[in-house]
Amino acid sequence: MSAPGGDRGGLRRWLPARAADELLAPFGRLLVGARLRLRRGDGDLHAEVVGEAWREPALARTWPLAVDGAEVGLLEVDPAPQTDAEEAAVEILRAALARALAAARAQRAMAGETLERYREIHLLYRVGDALAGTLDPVAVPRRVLAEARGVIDGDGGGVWLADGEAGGAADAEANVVVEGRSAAAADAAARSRARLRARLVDPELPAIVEAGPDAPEHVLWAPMMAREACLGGVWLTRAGENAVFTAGDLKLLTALATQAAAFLDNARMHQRALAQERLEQELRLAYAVQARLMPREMPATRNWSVAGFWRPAREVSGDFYDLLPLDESLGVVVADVADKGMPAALFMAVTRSLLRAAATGGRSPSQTVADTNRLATLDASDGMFVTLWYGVLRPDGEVRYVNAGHNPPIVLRADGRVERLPRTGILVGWDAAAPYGEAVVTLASGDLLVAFTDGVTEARDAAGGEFGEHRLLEILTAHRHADAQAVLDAVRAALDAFVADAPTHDDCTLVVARFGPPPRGG
Amino acid sequence: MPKLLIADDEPHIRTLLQQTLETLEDDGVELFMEHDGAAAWERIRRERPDVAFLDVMMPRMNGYDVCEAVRADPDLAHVQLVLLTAKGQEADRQRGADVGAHLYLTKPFDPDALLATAERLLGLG
Repeated sequence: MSAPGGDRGGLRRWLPARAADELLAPFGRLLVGARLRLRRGDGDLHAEVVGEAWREPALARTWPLAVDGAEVGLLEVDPAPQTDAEEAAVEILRAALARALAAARAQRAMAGETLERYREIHLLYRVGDALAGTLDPVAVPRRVLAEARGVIDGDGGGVWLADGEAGGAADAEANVVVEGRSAAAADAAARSRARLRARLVDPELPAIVEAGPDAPEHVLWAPMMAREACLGGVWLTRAGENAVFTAGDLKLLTALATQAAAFLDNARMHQRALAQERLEQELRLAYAVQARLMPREMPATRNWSVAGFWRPAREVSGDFYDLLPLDESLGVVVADVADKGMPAALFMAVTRSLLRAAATGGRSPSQTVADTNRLATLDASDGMFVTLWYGVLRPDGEVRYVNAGHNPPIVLRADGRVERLPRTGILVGWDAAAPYGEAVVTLASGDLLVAFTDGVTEARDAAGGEFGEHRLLEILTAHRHADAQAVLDAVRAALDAFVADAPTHDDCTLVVARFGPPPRGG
Repeated sequence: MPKLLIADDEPHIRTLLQQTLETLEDDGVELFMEHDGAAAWERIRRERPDVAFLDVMMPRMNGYDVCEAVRADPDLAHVQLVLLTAKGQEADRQRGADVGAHLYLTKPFDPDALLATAERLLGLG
């Protein structure tokens, strides 16, 4: 009969009571005058068989039962065997018990391995499940550290996050999470960080480090690798003589660290994507703001009709054009900042405002541009320049202008002759004291004035060919008797057809002004 | 003394369950192992355990049948039933709930979670 009770990891675990009963039973029939008992480590009865001729306790004999050299219980035969046959029967019983214990040991070891794998599967599943919804790069290492400490049983631990994507030698003190009750945790953290850095150079460095005279705690660490980059590492610490980390612990921590690295990598990519999206949204907003800076309707001007278009290469542009009503005249600006993107857009907005302010009060074009240049040069950051053409169109056809380093606008006479309006000064933003000359051209009825940025003539098709001034002139000449808007539309259509699907490299701006009454039928 | 029954017809699964739960013996819990549903039902009637972990697919009586038998006996109302199965379909879970199982755990089980569940059901800290 087996009996319940506790022997704390002893015989009961190696030889369950039912199996013990089954094993003893035939020997009870063999040794009819004996009582056979198995006792647990603490002396409690585990199993018993009483032969039918046994009457009362006598002088018993015991043999220890051992597993891996450790005693787990006793075999007690009462009375001690007297004959050779009884001795032989007890020998066979002892051999059977030894075999049963060896088999149980093998089975338990196998079961222990299987349970470890079960634990690993569930750990990885649990961490994966918990992190699946996490796109926070800070939450990932904390969660992993908590899980690792729970499953591998570490007193303390930490996560070291390499700064940046390469995970090189960057000092990332700020990213370390140190947990632990040991006063040596910080020391272990420092050593682990140093080791992780060293590991980047030498992958053969041992990952399990035993405590020693200089280090009071055992350390286990694993790098967090993703896409062949080390994003950092995880370490655990444990104190105590029998607390050295095992190869199984290392395997588990490595699996966890690799999984964490994948999630961390994912979270960082997500954040980068968010930042990119935010930037694009800001650029779209900037475009909307900038587009509103362009003239929305043409000011009514005696004897002139004007049309313009502006097309940024990216979301925002360094090009602009402006139309300024000045008493009876009309100020026309076409400008090109020598850069693209947000810095150019900001400089464009500054230049536009400065020029608008400077143009008031009856100032001449040369005064206006000189004032604009002086203030813009003070504001300009390194390498920010703007070329611009500023002309004042009078109702009598006279155009007084400054060409500050801009590509020369075209005057196309009604009879087809072409004139260019040359530079009268250097680009704006270079030299605060630069002088700007002024020139005059007078248009007759039916003449066209066309100012543009180099994005128009240098527009490229898919094969890399330039639109060129010759194409622009061909279209202008062919449409010179149409009104300003129709001429502009013709140029824009030709430009679109030429560029087609090729990527746009530069901003495009074009203004067409026609002097005289509108053409008949136009 | 609290009692816990483990019933599974697969010997290796029984070993895994026993090895996971045997630390409960240190807290004075008595473990019983059975290898089919009918034997489990007999053991439950005889020992009246506090908790029974029952495999669903067992010969003679399956886990659902054992649950139904236990729930039909007012004297066994205190027995908390946990079904263990490799089937994880929602319909199986629902059937487990319908026959009065307290919990439905899937294999491969998480050893730590299984032990924690047993401790909770037995009211052990």
